[in-house]
Amino acid sequence: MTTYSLIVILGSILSVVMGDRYAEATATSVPENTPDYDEGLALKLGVLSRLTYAVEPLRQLAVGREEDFDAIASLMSAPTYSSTREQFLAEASSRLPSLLSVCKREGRRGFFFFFPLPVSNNFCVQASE
Amino acid sequence: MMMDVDCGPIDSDSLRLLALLDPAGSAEIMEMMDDSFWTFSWAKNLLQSKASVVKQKFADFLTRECFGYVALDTDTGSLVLVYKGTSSLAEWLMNFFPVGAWASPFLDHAPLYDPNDQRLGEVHAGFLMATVSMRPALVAFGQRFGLANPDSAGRALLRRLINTGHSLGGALAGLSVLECHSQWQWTSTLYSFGAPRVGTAEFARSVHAYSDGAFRIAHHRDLVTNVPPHSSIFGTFHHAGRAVNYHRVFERQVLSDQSFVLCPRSAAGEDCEAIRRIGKGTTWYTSVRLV
Repeated sequence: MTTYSLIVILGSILSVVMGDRYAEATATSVPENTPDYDEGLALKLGVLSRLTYAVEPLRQLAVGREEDFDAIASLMSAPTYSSTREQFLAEASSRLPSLLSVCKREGRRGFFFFFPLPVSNNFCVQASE
Repeated sequence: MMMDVDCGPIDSDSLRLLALLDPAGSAEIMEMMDDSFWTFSWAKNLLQSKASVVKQKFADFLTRECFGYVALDTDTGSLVLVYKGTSSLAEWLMNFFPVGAWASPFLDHAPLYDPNDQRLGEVHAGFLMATVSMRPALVAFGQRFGLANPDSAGRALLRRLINTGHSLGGALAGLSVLECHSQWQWTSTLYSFGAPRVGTAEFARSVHAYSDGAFRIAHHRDLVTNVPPHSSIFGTFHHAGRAVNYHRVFERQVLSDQSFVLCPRSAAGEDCEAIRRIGKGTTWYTSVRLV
């Protein structure tokens, strides 16, 4: 470990702690004609994202566990992407017990780490309760 | 390696898991790692004794891990590319030390170009390597489903292409927006969760230009979303996508109504005053006071 390494690591930590306050702002914007935020879609995608941590179950999906195929199919065919959070959670809770148990386990596991991993975990946990 | 999964009839009325995204490009990665732009030239000299061991471990890691999956929702005509986040210690190390660059954590940039050699910005070297490792799987999947052909049945069925993922997966989803455009000339949607910064402001602008909606869902105290640093001193990494900050979601609490702040279109990336306001004066991260 060189002196330079230590400087960079300490500097990086300092940058994180200090946040953006001293960073040079660089303007970026998104086009005006892009769709607005869809929380119903975000909920579904949050759950799907969290499921990627269950690598082995995913591999098993790929070799043909029909019940899990059905579970994912149920998740994504829940009413519409613009459904409300309550509609989605109700739909998911009633149709996806096996899938959401995986999601819940993976989500809860995140709480034991230092990082809160807040959003997708909460989607999973709330959808499974 | 693409798993041989029968995607079934494309007019199915439900979502189907189409493929796992297993990295298959380790040989290509190894070649790229030899290129000088991966490390500062003077630092590379310090690394030569360790580099081969690190490279081999990274190659092993790339050939072992599943990076996500592709699913099709025929109800809404959406193809969803879902990328996996960081889980193992080896993956965490690779996030911080992308090419075994022990002397330059975070700071390795790599330029990104589309097939027409148009520059798309610079990105974190480790994230780019992970993306490149998945490129063969994505290309094979696209060919199988006819995604590059505007007249194919598969393309006609699809109304939307969505990239998503959590943490590292969110970073890969951002890069995937550009992959979808480069490979299939397709403008896709991005929803990332707790994603780190991926590249420069130029990269962020490319993501905005080639997406039909880019959202970065996060909590402002999530450390992952604050690395690599955005600093005039230590780097130029920049968030892409409109920030959606779930500021009331914290640890064991559950979601509540109106729990998020959506930044305006004009202030994507690093410039969202709403999030700065929430974060102002907070020097706490979870239960740890930082300063």
